[in-house]
Order: sequence, then structure tokens, then C-alpha cells
Amino acid sequence: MFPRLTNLGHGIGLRLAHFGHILEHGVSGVDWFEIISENFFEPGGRPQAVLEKVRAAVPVVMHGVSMALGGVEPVPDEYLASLRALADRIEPAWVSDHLSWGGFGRHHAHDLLPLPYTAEALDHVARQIDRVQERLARPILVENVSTYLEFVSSEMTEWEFLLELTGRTGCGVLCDVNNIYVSAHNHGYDPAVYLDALPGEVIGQVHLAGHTRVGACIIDTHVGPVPDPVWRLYRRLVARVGRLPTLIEWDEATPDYATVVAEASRARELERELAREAG
Amino acid sequence: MKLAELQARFWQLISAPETVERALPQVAAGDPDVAPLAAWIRAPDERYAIERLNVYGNMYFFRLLGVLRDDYPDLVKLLGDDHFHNLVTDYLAACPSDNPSIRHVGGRLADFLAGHDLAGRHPAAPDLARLEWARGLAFDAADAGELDAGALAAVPPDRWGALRFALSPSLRIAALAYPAHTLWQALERGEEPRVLEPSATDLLVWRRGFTVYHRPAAQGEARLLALVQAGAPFAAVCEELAAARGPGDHDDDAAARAAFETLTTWIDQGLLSGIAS
Repeated sequence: MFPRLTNLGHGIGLRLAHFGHILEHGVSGVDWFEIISENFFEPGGRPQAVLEKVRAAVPVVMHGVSMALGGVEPVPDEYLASLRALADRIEPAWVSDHLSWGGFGRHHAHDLLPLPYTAEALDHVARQIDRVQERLARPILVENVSTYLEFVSSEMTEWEFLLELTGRTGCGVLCDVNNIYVSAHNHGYDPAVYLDALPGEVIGQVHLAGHTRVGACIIDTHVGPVPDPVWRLYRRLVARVGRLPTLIEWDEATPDYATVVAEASRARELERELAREAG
Repeated sequence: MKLAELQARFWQLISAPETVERALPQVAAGDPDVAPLAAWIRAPDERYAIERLNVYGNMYFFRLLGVLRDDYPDLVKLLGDDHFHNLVTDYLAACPSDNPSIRHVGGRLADFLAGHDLAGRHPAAPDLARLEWARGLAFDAADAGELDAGALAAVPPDRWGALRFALSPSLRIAALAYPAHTLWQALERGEEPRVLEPSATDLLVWRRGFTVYHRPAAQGEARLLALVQAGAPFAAVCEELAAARGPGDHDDDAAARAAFETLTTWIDQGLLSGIAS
């Protein structure tokens, strides 16, 4: 069973757009930061200076985008060694990546590609997670991704697949509420059914972000503030399972630091409101 | 369908240049079961499956285009948006990313560009790309202190010959056929770049604090830095300098002065991180 992690409170993603602000003014208004692990693999310069400053002030969580747990190739040893070295150095509160694949053969798409939810894929991804957790010497969180198509061969729902993985490997779930909304819209199911199926004890962290409607499809763009339907789903989740470490992702046209921090504060306010309602 | 088969098919369709529609006949030549798409992608019809695959195809291309635009801002200015877009289309088809970390995706662009039609119109463009890539590598190379002139002054001059210096870990030497730094400067200033004549140029690229610098190496300087990098003592640098002055020149003082000036320049510019031994 996945060990319940510390509730770090409310965080934002550490982004290039805010490096100058943080170097000059330090960290304020957030409880923790999430970094994109691969952006800090190189040894020096401004990125490392910002990371050191942030890490000295607040907890940091490592979120990777290149593990490609669902890829048929094993996660490369060299990649895992870089990830482990970074984790040993900055001692993150936890490490996460995605339920997806990312390329074929030696080639990488640098994207989060959708899996068929089959018994074969489940066995494969579980083996990959076991190996990763062994190499990193810690359980990881696995995030649901936004998907734009589904496969005929799928034998179970995405949430059944994800929950089966937590049971088999002891990993936790990084529940991206926006991704649930986006995928549910794109495939025509009720996002609340997905959300309600996730027991609170497997959820280690929440992601909230914006999206973009393109024709009949919704694309996970991480642009703009968190849309209202995503806030409503988040409220539903917190009302059911209680407070969770929650992070705002704002990656496209990232506004100034204060604006992103204000979005994180909105999640904090929502929690307080629920606590008041509960009496 | 097996996972490997599904991923091979999906990858071929989304990584093909242009659209999934255009890639389909080619993929079908090696994998006849790829069509109908609705046999393996949940879709009411082929049109829907193609649209959804194109979402992935577009995300693949435009994410990497964005990263390469960030890596090569002046190359974009030199070639123009449309030509750069087309270059990236050809580049990704020929050199798909082979590193899990996206920051390495542009590492082969300069060499690829050298063999591309665009290099005929812009012969210095591959060297501009080499300069921009070297600057990117210096940006987050390992940190190190700088050798302080005071630390050197503390060493008696008769022992300088035995000293081995450590170079800044950010230092890169780009061996170029064109003086691409002049092109870079014009583009940074928003000036119309003039056509360059070929002229072999070694560019030194390094970082001090958070700022990346570059400058053309002096005559023979790249060779001297290579000696230092290989761990040669300062005496070997002096010998190389004396040899470069030619066999007829026996002015040892002038050679020593030249060696001292070179060393002073390296220290002043932060090219040396310390005394290795």
C-alpha cells in the first residue's frame, strides 16, 4: 500500500519565467515547489542557483516527463541514474511521472502518449514501476495524463488500470484533476465517475491546470487560470477525501509570480471553505 | 494487438512529416493492418481517428519546434520562420530525438543544416548554429570558481612553469569555418546580417556567473587552451608560444611576456577556474 505522504499544502511549478523574481525576492506565498526533474539534470548555472534557493526555503517535489513507464523499452539506466543523483542531492518530498509512453525504439516523442488498458500493458507497466522504485529507493506517484484517443483493445478503464498498478506496486497516484476533465470530455464519460473511483489513500498529490478547447476536443495546454469545471471537480474530491497537497501548473504564457501564487491560494481558500461548511 | 505493435504503428503515424493522412499510405506499405484505423482506435469513423491522431502529431512537432526555436533564436532570425519550420520538419524526420531529455533534441541540427539545401543560401548558418548550441551548453554547465590573480601572485615565479591550471568547466571551443560571431552580433542587434566570407575561426564560449560570453580566439590560443585542458604544465604553454614565434626568434623575454599576457587575459576573463596542481 502506498504510504500516505505529508500534506505539503499548496505549491506551484518552478518555471523559467519566475527565475528572475525568485533570485531577486526569494520564495513567498507558496508552501512548496514542483520541478520538472529533467530541467535540472545539468550541473550548474542559473537553474541550479534558483533550485538551491527554493530548496533552502521550502520543500521541493520532483516531477519527471521522460520516464515513459508505458514504453516497451525499459526506462534507460542512464536516465534513472540522473534522476537518482538529483533526488539524492535535493531530497525531494517525493518523485512522480506519468502513466504514458513516449517514443519507440531509440527515439523519443517528448510527449505523454496514451496506453491501451490491457492486461499485457498492466503487467509491463507494473514491472517498470517496480524497477524504477527499486532504483530510486522510494515509491513514486504516477499521474493520469490527458488523452485524445482510446484504443479498441482496452480491457478496463483508465482508473481501474491505475488502481490495479497501485495495488501491485505500492505506487501512489498523482491525480491531475484537469486531465480527468479533459479526457472525460474527449471520450464522452462523466469525470465524476473517474474521480469518485479513486480512494483518498492512494492519492499523493493533485495537479490543477488550464486547458484549451479546439473544435470538439479539449487540449491540456496548461494555459490560463484553472477553469471552473475543474475547480468544481477539485472541490468534490477534497469534500470526499480531505485536504491533499495541491499544485497549480501554468506553463504557457506564464504570468508573473504573484498571479500564479494567487491561483494556488484559491485552492487553499476552497479547502478552508469546505472545512467551515463541515463545521 | 500487442503493445509493441501498437506503439510502433502509433509512433510512425505521429512522427511522420506533415499529417497522418499523408503518412498512412507509407505506413500501410509496411503494416497493411494499420487501416482501417477504427479497427484499433475507438472511433465512429476514419475521419475522427485521423483527427485525434493529428492532435498527437501536431503536439509532437510543435513542442519540438518550440524547443528548437528557443535553442536557436538567431538562426530563426537568419533563415526566417518559414524556412526554419521546414528545416525542423526535415531535421526531425532525419534525426529524431535519441535522448529522453528534451534539451538534447537540437544537438545535431548544425551538422544536419550543413548538408541541407538552406546551407547553400546561408553558408555561415551551420556555424551560427554551432555558436548558439555552444552558448546553450555553457548556460548550465558545471559551476566553478575563478582563479584569482592574487592566488597566482602567491606562487614564486620560478614555480609557475610547473603549475597546471584548470579551465572553466563551461568553456567550449567551437572550430568554425566562418566568423559566425559577427553574424550573431548583427542578429542580436536586429541589424541586417551581411554575407560572410569564409575565415577559419575558433570561438571560445564560456560562462561567468549567469552570463554566457564568447570571443574569437587569438592566433594559436585554442591550441594553448587544449594543452591546458590536457593537463600540460604552464611551461608547455610557454614552449608552444616560443615555438610559434619561429626558430629565428631567440628573444626569450618577449616569449615570456607573451606567455604572461596570455595568462593574464585568461585570468581576467574568467577562463581559468583554479590551479590544478
